[in-house]
Amino acid sequence: MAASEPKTAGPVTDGGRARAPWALILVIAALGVALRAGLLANAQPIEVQSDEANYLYLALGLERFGIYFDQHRYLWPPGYAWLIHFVIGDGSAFDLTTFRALQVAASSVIGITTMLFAWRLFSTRAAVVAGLLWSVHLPLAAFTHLLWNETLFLAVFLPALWHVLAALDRSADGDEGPAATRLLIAGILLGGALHLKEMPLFFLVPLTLLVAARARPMGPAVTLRLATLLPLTALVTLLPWTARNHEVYGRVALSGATLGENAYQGLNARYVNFDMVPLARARAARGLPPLSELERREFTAPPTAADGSPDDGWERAEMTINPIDRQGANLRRGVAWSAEHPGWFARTRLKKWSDLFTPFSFFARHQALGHYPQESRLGGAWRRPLVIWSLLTSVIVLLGASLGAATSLRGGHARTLVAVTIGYVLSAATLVSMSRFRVPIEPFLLVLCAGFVTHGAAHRSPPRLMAGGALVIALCVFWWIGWPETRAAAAMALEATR
Amino acid sequence: MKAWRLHIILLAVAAAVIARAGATHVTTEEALRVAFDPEATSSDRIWSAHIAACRATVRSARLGEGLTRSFLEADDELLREAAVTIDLCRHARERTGDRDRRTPPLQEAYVYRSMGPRGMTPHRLRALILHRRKAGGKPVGGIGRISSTEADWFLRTLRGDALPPSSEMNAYFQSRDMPPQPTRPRSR
Repeated sequence: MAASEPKTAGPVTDGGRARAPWALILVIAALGVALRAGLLANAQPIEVQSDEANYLYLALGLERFGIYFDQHRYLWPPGYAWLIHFVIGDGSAFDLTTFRALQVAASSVIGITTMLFAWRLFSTRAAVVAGLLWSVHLPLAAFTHLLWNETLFLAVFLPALWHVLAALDRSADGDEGPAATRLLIAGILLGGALHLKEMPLFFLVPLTLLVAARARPMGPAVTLRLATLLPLTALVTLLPWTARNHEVYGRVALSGATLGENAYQGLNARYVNFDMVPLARARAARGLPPLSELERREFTAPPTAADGSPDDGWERAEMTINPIDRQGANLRRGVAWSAEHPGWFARTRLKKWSDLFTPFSFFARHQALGHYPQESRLGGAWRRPLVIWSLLTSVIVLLGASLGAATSLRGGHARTLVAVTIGYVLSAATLVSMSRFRVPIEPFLLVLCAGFVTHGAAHRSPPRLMAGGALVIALCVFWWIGWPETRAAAAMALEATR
Repeated sequence: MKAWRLHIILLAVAAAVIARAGATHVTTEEALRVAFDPEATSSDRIWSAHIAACRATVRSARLGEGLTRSFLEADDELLREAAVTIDLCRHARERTGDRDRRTPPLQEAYVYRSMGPRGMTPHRLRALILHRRKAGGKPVGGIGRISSTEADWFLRTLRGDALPPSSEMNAYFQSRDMPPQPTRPRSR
């Protein structure tokens, strides 16, 4: 992952092909991995929950039948269940600790790439700060001992973006060959990421446009070659799985099929935030007031029907039995229904972004639900300080990243890549949202925060300062919108009882 | 041409994958024939049932009842367990009654039949877990999600390792809101 020092972005500009500060990066990555290993050791024995259990079930299906089953309302990409199957099917006694430990090890890739981005975008000092932030950022670290695929996904997705950035750098230098090699690697990694999550599928489009824009000075033939290489490689990497889907379902499903069900959840009358769904059940069991009574209804209430009553929304296309066809049918229903209620759509999307940028996290949610055993340190003595820490780091990182993006980051294609990635996740969150969906951009938020911490408002032009102020205000508005539920959920996390 | 060699290689790989997929393609009619064929191997029958059930565009009694019965009456435990997975349960849902209470009737009857003198056999345990813990939930007969303990027992049966006493496993399932087993109807 050696990279040339940029000419177009970041305070570190020697104009040559500088080497990243590998010794520092590796030491900090080791620290982060050690802390995650400590979390894993102190979280045991931890039971699987919701999607975690479904991944485990799918892995057992692979073990017994050699067949990957869909989940009726979804077809998740197969990679994560396959990896669990690979680890638990080795003939030894059942134990998910090995798999969780593999995730802890894989997180080193996330730490290293986060620091490389910080170094590339800002400086060696920023890389150190970003690495330290990554080490102690619980909302990210907790996924290493949970059975959600965020860690493994990021361990593939983030290096893919790093190689895209390197390809953009090479294109800027007019080096077609090295740029092509980087795009080939990035394409393979993105293809791998698409085996874990469907999320980056449409992200190939803006990435392709970005590569094309950067390669344009090299002429139309080179532009065409470089721009097509990334999506072509990713799709060819994915093709065996796509071909399998076509054989099984008689339909094209490139990576998975989740859009229609997400449309049902997000483009429908009933407001859903999956951070809060299990908490709502837990509150009922504990005799606490329902979250629906606390939320700011102006951002969640359904639209009004013609007779003045609340619109009930639409039902899933359950009679469409083919799982791939059903996705399309649900999506069409969701889009048509939303088009009838543009005012409702606009006000509820603010809530979606509020849910995306909440200080709450899956770590805090697990604590609120009492999922960490009380006999473990995470669920016992360390619970309250760690919950407070997880909330605080999210607030600090989000504020720092807002200011860093506006006032610390120099222009250029690196900034464009970060902006496009964050913009893509923001767009996806308009459909269905929760804290977990922020994870793909969490490393960039750490990088931007580190940039602000180390370089402050290095670019103080009035438009940039205004942009920084606008971002901070927007963030505060999002927090205000979600405050009633966030406060209630945080209180549950601080006082968890089973 | 040399400048395009990466693209050419990638397109050649794509062509090979597509050609292979074309060569191994099975028509739905052929898949149905193999799925019902008692002479075919169990794995071929299960894969063919998987294809036929997933490709279907309407709920099929031929799959939901005919093939389900065929699998449940087979000698091979693997086939009987395949009958309770999502593929055939999707086609086996009752069409009337409270939407949230519709369950695949043949699978329910099979999984919850009386245990008999052998108690919780490995096959019965696997069928129970596969049916009630399936990813897909209520619409396909699932209740609750699998726990680490259940996954451990499931894998133990595949390895041939000892299981806890039936009474212990039964109590565990009942504690997780499983319907009381002796009151369920017999299917076979």
